[in-house]
Amino acid sequence: MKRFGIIALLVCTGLAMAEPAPLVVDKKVRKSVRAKHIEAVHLEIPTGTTDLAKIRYAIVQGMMLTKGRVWTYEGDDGGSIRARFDYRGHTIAVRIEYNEELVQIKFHGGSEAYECKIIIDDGICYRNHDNYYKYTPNLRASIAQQLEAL
Amino acid sequence: MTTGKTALLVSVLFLSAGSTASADITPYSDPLQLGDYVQDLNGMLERAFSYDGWQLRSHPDPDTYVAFLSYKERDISVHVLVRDQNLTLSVESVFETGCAAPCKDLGEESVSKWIVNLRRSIAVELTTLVRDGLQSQM
Repeated sequence: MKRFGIIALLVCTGLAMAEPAPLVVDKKVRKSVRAKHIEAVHLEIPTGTTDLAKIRYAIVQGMMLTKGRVWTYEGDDGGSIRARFDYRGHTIAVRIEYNEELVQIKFHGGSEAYECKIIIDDGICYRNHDNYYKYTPNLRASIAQQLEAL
Repeated sequence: MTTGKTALLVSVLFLSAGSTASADITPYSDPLQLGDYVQDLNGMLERAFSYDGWQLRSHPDPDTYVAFLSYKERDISVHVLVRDQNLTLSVESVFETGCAAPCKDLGEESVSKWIVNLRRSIAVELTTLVRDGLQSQM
């Protein structure tokens, strides 16, 4: 039982400490969208600063200045900001994970048409509605722009 | 099966569930986390409600605010509950009013869409406050 406790603790700790990490798209995943679409959403962004207050600001400012439509703030889980996109009766929800080096968008949830069909590495979405790969890259680009402007 | 194998199996199942599961998303019932960013809740709600003509009304429970909309011969009341720094919407009532003949059927979707827009308006105001709060911490 002691071993079970240790393993469970390690698993829980690992899940609670989800962090951004360099993206390596697994091109062998069947029925996946093309790698460039996955990268446009989920490729990590270098922060350019270790100041977490500035990084958080850049993320939220990026959400507000996203081309087309504002992504709204849903909450901060300490290490990730949850953001949401409601448009024409559909919803995309993401976690924007951050640390002192990287920022990375992870899939969090979606309304029926936007449920991710293939999720790998705790939030990298390999297959979703075409519009997921159309709207979410705008968010990534906007956050990257704000980080660069810091 | 030994205890060790059982533990490993449970852990793998738990890990795989955590790594592939996504959150359930509802149209308007998911809580908004206010944190310490909202100093003037009434002001934030009034600004958000004004986007689409919702009125802010009081409620006997100090944790609850009422959003009221009279539109397309419907009176809609939505409860805005603020507890433990989370804000949650729930529909209190939808009444048909003033139709000479039976009211035109709008379907569930229209009313739901109005409430989604209400939640989004609140979320946009919250996002602005969070952005301003984070800027002041820099």
